[in-house]
Amino acid sequence: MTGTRRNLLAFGGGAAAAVAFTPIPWKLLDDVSIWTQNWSWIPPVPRGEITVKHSACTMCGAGCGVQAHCVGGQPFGLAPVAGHPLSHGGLCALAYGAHQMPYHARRLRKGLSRGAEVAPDVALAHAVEILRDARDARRVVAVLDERPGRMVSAMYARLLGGLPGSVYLTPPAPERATAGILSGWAGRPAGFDFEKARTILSIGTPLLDGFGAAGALLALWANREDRVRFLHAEPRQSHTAALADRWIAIRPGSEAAFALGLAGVLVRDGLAKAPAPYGAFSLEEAARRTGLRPDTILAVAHELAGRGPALVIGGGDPVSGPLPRDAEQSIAALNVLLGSEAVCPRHPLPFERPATPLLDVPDGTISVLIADAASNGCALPEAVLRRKLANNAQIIRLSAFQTTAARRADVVVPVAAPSEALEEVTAPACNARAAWGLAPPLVERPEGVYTVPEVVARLAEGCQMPAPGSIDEASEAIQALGRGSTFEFGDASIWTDSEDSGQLEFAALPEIRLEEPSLADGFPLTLMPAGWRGAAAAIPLPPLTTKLYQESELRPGAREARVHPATARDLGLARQSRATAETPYGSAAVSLRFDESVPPGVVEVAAHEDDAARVFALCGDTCWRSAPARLRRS
Amino acid sequence: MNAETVERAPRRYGMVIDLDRCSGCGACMVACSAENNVPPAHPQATERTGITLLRVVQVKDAASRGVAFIPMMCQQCGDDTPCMTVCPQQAVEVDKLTGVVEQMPQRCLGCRYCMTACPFQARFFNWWDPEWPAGMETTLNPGAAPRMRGVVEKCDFCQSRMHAAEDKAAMEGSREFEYTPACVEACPTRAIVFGDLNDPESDVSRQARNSFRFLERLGTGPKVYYRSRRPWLRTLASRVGAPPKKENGNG
Amino acid sequence: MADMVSTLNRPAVADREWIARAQDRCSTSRFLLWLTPWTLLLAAGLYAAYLCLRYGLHQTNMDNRFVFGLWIFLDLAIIALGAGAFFTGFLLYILRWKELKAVIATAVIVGFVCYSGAVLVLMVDVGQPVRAWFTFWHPNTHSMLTEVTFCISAYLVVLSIEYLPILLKNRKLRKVPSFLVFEFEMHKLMPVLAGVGAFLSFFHQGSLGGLFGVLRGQPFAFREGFGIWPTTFFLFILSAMAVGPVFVMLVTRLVEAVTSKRLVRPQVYQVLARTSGLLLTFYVLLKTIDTLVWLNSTSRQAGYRPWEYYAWEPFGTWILFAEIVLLGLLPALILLSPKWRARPGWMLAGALLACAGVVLNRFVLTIQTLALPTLPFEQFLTYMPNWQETATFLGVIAYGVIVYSLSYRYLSLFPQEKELAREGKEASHVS
Repeated sequence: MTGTRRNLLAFGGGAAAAVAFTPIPWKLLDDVSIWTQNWSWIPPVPRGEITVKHSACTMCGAGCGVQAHCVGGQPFGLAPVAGHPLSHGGLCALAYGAHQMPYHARRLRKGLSRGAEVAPDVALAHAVEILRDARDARRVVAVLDERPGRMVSAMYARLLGGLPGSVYLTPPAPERATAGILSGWAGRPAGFDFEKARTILSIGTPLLDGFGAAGALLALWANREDRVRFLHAEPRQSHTAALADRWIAIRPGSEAAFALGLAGVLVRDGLAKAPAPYGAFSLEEAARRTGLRPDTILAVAHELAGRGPALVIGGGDPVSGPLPRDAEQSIAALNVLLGSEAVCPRHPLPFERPATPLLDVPDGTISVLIADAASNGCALPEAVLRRKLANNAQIIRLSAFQTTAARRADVVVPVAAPSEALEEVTAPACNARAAWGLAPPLVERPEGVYTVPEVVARLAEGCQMPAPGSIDEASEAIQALGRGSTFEFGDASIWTDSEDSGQLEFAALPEIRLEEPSLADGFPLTLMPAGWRGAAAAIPLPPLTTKLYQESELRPGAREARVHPATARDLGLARQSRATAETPYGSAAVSLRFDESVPPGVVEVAAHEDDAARVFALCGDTCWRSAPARLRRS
Repeated sequence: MNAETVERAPRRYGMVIDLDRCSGCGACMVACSAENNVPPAHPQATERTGITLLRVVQVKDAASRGVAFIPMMCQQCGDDTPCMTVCPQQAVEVDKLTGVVEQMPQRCLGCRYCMTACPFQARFFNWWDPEWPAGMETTLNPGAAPRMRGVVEKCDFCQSRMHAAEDKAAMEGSREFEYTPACVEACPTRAIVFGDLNDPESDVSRQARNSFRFLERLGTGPKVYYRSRRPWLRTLASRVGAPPKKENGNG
Repeated sequence: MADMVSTLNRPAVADREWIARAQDRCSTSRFLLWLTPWTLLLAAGLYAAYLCLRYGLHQTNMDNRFVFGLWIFLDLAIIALGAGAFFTGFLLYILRWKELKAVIATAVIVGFVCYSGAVLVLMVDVGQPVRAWFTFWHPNTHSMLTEVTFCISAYLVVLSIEYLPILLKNRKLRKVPSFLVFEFEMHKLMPVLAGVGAFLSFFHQGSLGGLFGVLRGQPFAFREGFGIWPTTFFLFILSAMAVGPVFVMLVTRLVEAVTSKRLVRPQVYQVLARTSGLLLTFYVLLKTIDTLVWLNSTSRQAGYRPWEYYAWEPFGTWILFAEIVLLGLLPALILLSPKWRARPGWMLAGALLACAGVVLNRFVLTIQTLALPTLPFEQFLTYMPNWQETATFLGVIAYGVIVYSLSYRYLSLFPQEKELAREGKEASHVS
């Protein structure tokens, strides 16, 4: 055979044809196919034994029970616990992402000292030093606890007991407001029995959207049929307004006038069950201030009186804060006037210590503030807190996350993130029955990171004070009570107190004076921060909640401002355009969205995570619910 | 497919969503993402590029001042399933035993033709590589492989849960099993009922009798049903197409 | 004077041997100068494509609603315009319209450029290009896209084969004896290839129309049809056939303008224009019937009232008028009328309007379909391509220009060129 070109070609062609009959090309194709299907940089899923652990969600103070589906001991999904006495088999959106909190991009595994990273023990030593100096100089030390009523809270209180002049504080929370005022008037703890109520009126408070345990109130709402009616008064058509059987669209800032108007009708028409000075508040005056028709107010008042037991709930919003004092008081007073059987006395927990509301503390008095790591899911603007601090005051924060507040603290002691340490849960402050339970950890905490009781103990030790006790004491104290019932689920349990059979006696109702709204020239609009529970809290949102705001429009995201189309039209502003919101306190750039559920004349600015500080800076430092504002094209 | 699975009577999984019970809390959306290993949003993602296999949409009625929240996921079309018929390489299949429309991300070429075919906007493209903060990959669900960039994904009624339940039953020597998709489990108001539409006695079949579907007239045979006592909401669903109003688009 | 210019522009020694004898081409440096901007554009396009392939499609402005954008719209548009290749081939080789020999090479190259360009863009447009071959491995025969993929791939092969003999006629390549034999054999094959090409094109042009016509979930695009084929299937074939010839004419006229030469006799243009005019008239008639049936029956059955589609600015009823009357009926009449067609300006305007009409049709079917809301609570959305998308597309245009320029320079595309040049010279001598 000669090596001609023809032969070479023939050989080549034959070889090529023959290869098709060998496994080579098919194997190659198969390999390419597999290669294109598996991308090495996509994380593989974990493998291991599937187990279930039980605990409680600690993203806020509602104390909902969770069961965690785990692989190799690591939770990969959370589920509700059927029959749980606090959460009633429900959980909110935050809970379903809670198991990822230990790995949050903002997770703090080191301490911070004046913003710089330090070892955890260095941070703790620094905190001890600050506390010791404060004690020696007899300066006022305060502890800020977002979830008072826990055993840990009692430990803080004991720590403060060794520091004369110190004060144990709690920030405002919607659940605590009305029940707290009623407790004050009755001289003993009071709470609500929602199950007993047949008419529930919430005023400026998102009762069905992040008030107490999501499962409890939403289950009541969803299964209400004709048994319970939900009424809701709020300027904007919030989620709660949308879900309520009746939405009463009052003017911004007219909550007190609305409540007093209802009270006036009750007194005038002889429906009040307690003596009160509110008969003088005329229906016409209430109608003028709230922008409602007089017969609307009349109808609501008669419904409350005629369809009892009724509850009237205030407290404000987890993001836009508490209602003004006059509104909170007049809302609480309505419950007394209605003689509601759904307002019940409550046994306090044996280790419960009374906490001073932060807003009641005189301005500029606190020299050292220790902020606990627990979150109640509500916003507390930095300016509101700072107002209470003396000049050169120092802030010690316990935190698992690098938040804006943490960066601004003098010392941050890194502590366990949610689900990393044994934590306590209690019932929301509005509940008529106290509850207490333990949330066992689901994962191990990173090395060096402390638990809160450890930090409290080390602070006491550093100041040569007696040990403040431990969480174990709580279970003993509760067992010693010998009452209540315990709900066991898996390896967790929660104890619920029995009903307090006592009666609530209210002192004479105080006369409430309406605070005149401050009018600012040149600010024709009203700016209101908006958000949802957890959006501007002390701990960041679970990463997967981006599905709710960034990746959908269910919740507002950072820099979003919503206005009624008519408002925008009057100002010549276009949808999705950039604008600057200005108030007497400052200005901020926002991205405009049109929303017909926002009342005309109102600019609803989303207070969201880190961006919340910028929004709250527009709202002053006493009440951040609203501010006079104007909008400018930018 | 082995003989054992063939013997089982084919099911037709479906859902009934009571819109009067949906509170718009969004728990289902987060639970769904956790269950299906959907990553948190890329910093640049928007509501138009994010992945929400289940999304809760707020709708309003001007006349009655009504507001409703509509959970929208793949409606599991049963008649000429639009996405399945258009996929050029059989990356979409309708499971004969369950009626569930399944997406095979490993075979998907990312042409997105199925997304144009879907009238419910229930399909999502991975515009980015999935990313989790360091350590968070340990929280991934072992039942659902994360998808890579460049492929389409959608709700499959939590097939990962179904397979787990099926395997568990098989281990116990049974072919009977029940399972609950993540959103159904997560709903605090029990607004979603899930089950076998072929079983006339099931909750889902009974509730589906007095219900409506979105875009029913397109004839795609969705297996997700909705209920509401509010007339405007029923009208909204039956009257497909947006109300004609002159206004400039956004975006 | 003209002689002097052409002497000055005579190619330098560098590539002269590659250029056919008696074919007047500019100097190498001038040619390179011409190529420079196109090469830069191509480089920009390649860079943009790299960004998309390396980092993912978030580099574009597309989103979950606008899953198709500039690229798919332009793919559909250039494939329609590139239809001149198959249709001219069909007329020449099957129906034996000999005069079309004058433009067949241009038609083939335009077709090749359009199709290969479209395939290149598609490879960037899909999320997982390495899996593109799965369509052949696990084909879903019910999918219009499978049909499109199969036919376009096969037709691209046909076009490449049709391109080969043109390539092999190059002065230098002809010197290889086996190439010459090969080229001769290929010529005998041409009618077969033209037939296969026509068949394939027929199907994929139709399938491209079917792509949107079958979308039951998009009432704006959905059409009833015959068997498995929606009406858009046939309308796409017809509209592509209608604009193919005039697009070949436009390209040729453009080359004539750029090179200041006469390359094709006017009678050929008349044939092309008349063919387009006839087909366009037929298309406009069918399109009108289809639109009426769709608005009054198909769409109503789905629950959508006609005016809903046109209630969203900027896509008002004007777009329907523009598509059917302004860019459909009007050019059809111009091209059909021998009087108007005889005037070069009118003929050119008619051709341009006809092409614009088909491009608008492809735009309406892709972009407007996606912009319109289907669910009752959804909004009309808008989309604008970003620089990556635009650059990738312009890169493909540059690629086309470069391929055509090289072909024009080194291959003999116009058999009438020499004659026309000689006639021109004689005419100038006479004068």
